[in-house]
Amino acid sequence: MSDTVPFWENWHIWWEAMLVALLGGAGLAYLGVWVALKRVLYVPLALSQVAAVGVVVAFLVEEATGLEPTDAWHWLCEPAWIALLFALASAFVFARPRGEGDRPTVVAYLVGSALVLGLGSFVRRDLHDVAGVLFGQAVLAHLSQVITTASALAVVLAAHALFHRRLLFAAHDPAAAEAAGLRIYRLEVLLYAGFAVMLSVTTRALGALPAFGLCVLPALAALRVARSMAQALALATALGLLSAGLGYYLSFSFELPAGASMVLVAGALLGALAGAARLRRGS
Amino acid sequence: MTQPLIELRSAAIGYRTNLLTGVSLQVARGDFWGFVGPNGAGKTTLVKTLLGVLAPRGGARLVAEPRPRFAYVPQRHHVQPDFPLRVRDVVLLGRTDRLGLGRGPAPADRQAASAQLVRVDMQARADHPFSTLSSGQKQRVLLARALAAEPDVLVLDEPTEGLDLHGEADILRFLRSLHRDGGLTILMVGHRMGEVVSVADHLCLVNHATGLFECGPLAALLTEEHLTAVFGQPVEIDRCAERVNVHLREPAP
Repeated sequence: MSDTVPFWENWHIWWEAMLVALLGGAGLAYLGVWVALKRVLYVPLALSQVAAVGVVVAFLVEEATGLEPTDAWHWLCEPAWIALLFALASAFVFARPRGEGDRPTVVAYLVGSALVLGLGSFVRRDLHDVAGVLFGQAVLAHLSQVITTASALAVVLAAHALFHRRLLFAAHDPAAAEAAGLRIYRLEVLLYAGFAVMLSVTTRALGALPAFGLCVLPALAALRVARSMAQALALATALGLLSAGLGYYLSFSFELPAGASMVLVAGALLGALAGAARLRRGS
Repeated sequence: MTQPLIELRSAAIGYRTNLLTGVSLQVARGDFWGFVGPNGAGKTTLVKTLLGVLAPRGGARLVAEPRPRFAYVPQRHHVQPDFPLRVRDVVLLGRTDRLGLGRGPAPADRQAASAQLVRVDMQARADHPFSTLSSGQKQRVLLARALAAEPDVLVLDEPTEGLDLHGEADILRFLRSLHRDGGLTILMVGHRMGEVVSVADHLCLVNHATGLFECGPLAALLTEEHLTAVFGQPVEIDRCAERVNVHLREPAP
């Protein structure tokens, strides 16, 4: 293993990126349980694309207004805020009753992807910079991204701690929950806004592929073996942490693509737990 | 005259278009209403309007004060099947609106849930996964969840759909005892007339395709002459113990 890069000796290079990956992996996997149980697996993809449209719009506004990073009003075209606003706005649409099935999600994904490419061609920045801001790169991170990801996770977890039982009732049986007096649409907006916050932050920090992968794969793995909702949420969060941490370690040590490594670890864990669940059922 | 618990006054009901118009109906405390009609007749839409889940498109829905507490048992296939919930967890969801934000169930909530599991004879399965139960068992658990809410009005949408004869008889017997012994107000949707009139004391005949909307006490509506006039075909009613069979008379050969 002489080709490996010493991991622990280089901690000062990777600690911020590792923290972002761990925080993002935990938050995405926790929310992924809700995504999987509500059978809205394409929503994270669509939200990432809508957030990406926000980033491109931010670049265009910056170029049209000529605002410089040193200007007092530059925050108006800060990609992070505009991406979050776009994702939050789409959460209101995705939260509506699903009489139309997956159509709004698929339309948002397709139109979002086309807008990123179409509007992106008007951005005069270097294409590599744009892609980095749009989809992250997972290898390196700034302290500001650690703080942003931790803040997003804290907000999401606080909201879920307050509304957990209401969210659970509304997701399991919306008609009965509504008859009992719960405001279903508001709860759905809260849930989808959580997806929007976490995905818009982690897509920029980690990349679109790991954000989607860490949202879906650990949750599917946890749901193969969990016997209660608490078990599913705790196990998915642990698997998200493990996938992100081990994936980053492997990527750093063996110079592999970081996002892909995280997704591959999550996929391997899903395979292992699915096999274990099958063995348990067979015995 | 006592104030009705729920009232629809000249209401128009439907989602994007009117399914039924001129709907007037008063549900009093302790009534057992049966809503009968073919599939897609507008029964569930009518009941959701009574519940307040769906706003009337015209007219008015009036509710007594203090507002009654509703509990709804939907058709079983409307409940998400994959959730990793034990039977006890599902029943506890019925207490959700009584819990403060960020609060889990208190011992009193757990006792209420356990009591309802005993009532529907499912206490032995309290720790089993809900998803592994049979249709009849799931129906009883959903009933327990509704009753755990201590409702003033219990609303059931086709509670015997997909059950075998034994399961159907169990559920109907249980509903009859809830009404007779507990005085609970019940609204039940069904598409088999015999099943509904075996337990209800008020009947609502609904079919938006023919514009049929007729409501009233069972005794007034459940006569061969009246149903023959409503359906335009000779109708026979057979009574046997607590069961009532309503069927179209076979034409003479």
